Amino acid sequence: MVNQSAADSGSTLSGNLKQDKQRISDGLGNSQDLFLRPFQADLAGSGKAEGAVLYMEGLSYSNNLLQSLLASHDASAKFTSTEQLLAHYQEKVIAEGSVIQSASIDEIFDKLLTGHSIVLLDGCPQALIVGTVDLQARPVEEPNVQSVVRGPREGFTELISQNIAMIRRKINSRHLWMESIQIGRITKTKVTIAYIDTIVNENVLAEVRKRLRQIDIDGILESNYIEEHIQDKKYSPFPTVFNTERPDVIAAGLLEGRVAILVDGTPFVLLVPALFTQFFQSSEDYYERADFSTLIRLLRFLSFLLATITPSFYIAITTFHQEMLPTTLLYNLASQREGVPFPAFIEALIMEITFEILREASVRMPKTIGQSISIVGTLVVGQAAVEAGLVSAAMVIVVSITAIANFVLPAFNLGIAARLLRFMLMMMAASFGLYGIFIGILLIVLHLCTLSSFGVPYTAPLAPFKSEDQKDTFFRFPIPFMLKRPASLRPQQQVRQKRR
Amino acid sequence: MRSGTFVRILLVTALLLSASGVLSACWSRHELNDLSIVVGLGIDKQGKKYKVTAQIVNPGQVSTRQGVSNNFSPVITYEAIGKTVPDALTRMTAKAARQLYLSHLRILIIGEEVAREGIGKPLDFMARDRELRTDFFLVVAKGSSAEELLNMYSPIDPIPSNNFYTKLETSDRLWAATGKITLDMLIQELYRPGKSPALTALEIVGDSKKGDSIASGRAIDPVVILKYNGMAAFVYDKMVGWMNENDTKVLNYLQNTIVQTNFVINCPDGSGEQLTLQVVNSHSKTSVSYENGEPVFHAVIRNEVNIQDINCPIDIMDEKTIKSITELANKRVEQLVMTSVKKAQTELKADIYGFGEVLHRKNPKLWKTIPDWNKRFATVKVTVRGDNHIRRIGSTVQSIEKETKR
Repeated sequence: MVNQSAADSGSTLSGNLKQDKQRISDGLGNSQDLFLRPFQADLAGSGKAEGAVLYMEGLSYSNNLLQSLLASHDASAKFTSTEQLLAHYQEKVIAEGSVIQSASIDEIFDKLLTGHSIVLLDGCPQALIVGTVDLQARPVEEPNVQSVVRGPREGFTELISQNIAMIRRKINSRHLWMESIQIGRITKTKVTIAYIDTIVNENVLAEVRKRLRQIDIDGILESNYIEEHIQDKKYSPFPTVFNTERPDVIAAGLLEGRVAILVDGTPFVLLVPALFTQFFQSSEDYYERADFSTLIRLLRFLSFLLATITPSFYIAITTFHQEMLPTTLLYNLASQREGVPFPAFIEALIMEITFEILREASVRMPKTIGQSISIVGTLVVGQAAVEAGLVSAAMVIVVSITAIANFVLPAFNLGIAARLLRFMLMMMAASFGLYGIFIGILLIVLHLCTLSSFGVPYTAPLAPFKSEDQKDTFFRFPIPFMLKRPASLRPQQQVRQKRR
Repeated sequence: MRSGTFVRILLVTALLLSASGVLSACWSRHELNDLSIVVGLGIDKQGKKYKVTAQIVNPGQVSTRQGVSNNFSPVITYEAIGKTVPDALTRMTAKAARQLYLSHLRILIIGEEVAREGIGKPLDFMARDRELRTDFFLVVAKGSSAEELLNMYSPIDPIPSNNFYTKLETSDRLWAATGKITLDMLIQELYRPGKSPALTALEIVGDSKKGDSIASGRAIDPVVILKYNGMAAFVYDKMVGWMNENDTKVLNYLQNTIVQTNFVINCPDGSGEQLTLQVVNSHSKTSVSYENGEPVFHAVIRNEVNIQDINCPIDIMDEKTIKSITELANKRVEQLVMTSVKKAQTELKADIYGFGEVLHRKNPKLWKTIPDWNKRFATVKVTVRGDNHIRRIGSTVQSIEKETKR
């Protein structure tokens, strides 16, 4: 990647302190947060060396550097040239872990803007770049989404180095490898690929590297920028990249042979390849008893189905296939619909859109008034709409079931797919009844079959069918029985554990 | 340029597809509140024409939702006269507020006159119409017209037709003296050689003049009640006579359709007191043998029975008593069946019990030589053997009668 700063006339330092300081300051547009701390050192004889420490306010913690520089004042008199002094500083004086010499203006800008301090001496065309990066981060908190009853409570933060450390703490192996690159012409965001060298599928890794390298964008502010660039199909309601805030989920993914992509500035870490069934799995499945986890997992599949087709099914049954209803239920539904002016489809649309509005409002609004909105939402929209004869009571139940079932899904982005497809199926149901729903489902299944995630078929391990993987698809077998890693991901080492 | 054409084709396709969704609008779509749900249908004869009565639910009065006035009837009946049943139903639309919806029909009541003339013609529509399911019950009105029956108020269940439906189902299961026949079963029986169909009879008990008002539901002792009473026997599609409750039971025995029933026998001690046996499992088998080329039918009815009550001081712990009860029960079953079979042979002249079907299956060659089975059936010999097994004697060991006499 070629970096260019507009103010540069040459690409190296001149050695003239005043000139160099001016160049750096000009290069940053004389921004006020660039701090210049001049100092003086005595050289052998009566020579004086002018020097300066440059750092960005708020990004660096330069106290230690300044202290050690000023404290070394007495020893400086041995040296005859500023080059020697600089080398002395680098080797003996500065206590920070990272101290390098560089003459490149570009590098100086890069480092300065990531929180490093620059030490310049007059008459020396080299600068010291000192790692004084101030790692101020939000404390590690429990993730808001994907929360669990039992399991680790920590979640990723916005700081990539902390996130990497969290993964390292879970996997203490030298085979956990990290590759860092910068993406974003302007933001220069640090993006790190993490994988376990002995397990990961080389082809997937190569594909990840290739796709990341192809990204040419001015800025990366969230991992979704990366996700949308590297996903296999741009137009699909289904996510083909998994994201999580939980280090344990990432660690589990790495152990299965997946590749994690960490992006600086966001707690959401990407995991590829992502398969359809993976979105129904929660990390808690492995922290609770196997039988219970199996039950809950099946419940999630059912919930996805409910969240997707309940309103359309209701529309189809009540407007096309009344003969399918139990007779008593038909009387009740018919009596509720007495006086409702809209067709069932419009009725469903009103309720669904109202609910989506409420839901969006509850995400955006200040937390303190959230309570009142939910009361207004449930009471006014639910009960009052029924009493006013705008919608039937059964429709309120249908919409509520749909909404609640949607929240059962552990992955938020799969819930989005259910929400989008719901409206499509409702339209199909309103036009063609059950026939329309089945056409719709058929189209969805066909679409799912065309998807793949980094070379792995999206519907694996169901199609192509992998019998060994069935232990951890719909069911969750007890952990001692799961002897192999997911075959659909084709890891280098298949065996996870030996049979006892 | 090429991608532009592609996008254009895609857009046009999307537009056409969305139009097809919107423009399909009324294609076989009907909202729930556009329908008149027909739950009961009655067919009577009026001169040469059919008089069809439809019982329609008023959903607002039926559901549990609060805030509706209770002054309206839960059902409404419309009647119309037409040359055929569908003709009459079409004419009914001039009276009914909404489109008649027949899928949820629970019961079809056939007037006696229609039944005697032949049910084939009116039933053709029922079998042909795609809206009608085939799982509603068919009954014959006894002693009154189908219209009158549909105009009676029913207590407890506000929808009379629903009341008929559940009543028939319960009594068929627990007593076996009624027969629930659905349309598909009837059509099968109409085609089955050697088995005449039979339909349950429904009659009014009480004052039918007062029973048609909702006010009659305010009385604790119902002013009027509709009761199933035996069955109507058919030869082909024409009704030939009535069967009483015993005949119906025998039909259920011989058809293997008994879920549960009971019967009363005399006590074995000769005291003239009674003892009730509950049949919990019944299985019958009919075989055929030949005497001089004449078929002779042997029916074996195997019952598992429980003792329901004992009104006499017998020692139930004695094995001999159990044995004599079993013998008496066997005799009772044999007598019951023979009486009804005789009646079918002499009075009805219809093989409602399906002996002819057994012959047809066992000996198709002989069957083909018989021109009119119902005529031949009148003279055919039938033997019956009861085979009862007492399984449980209940939670009290000896009868209270015996304990108090000690």
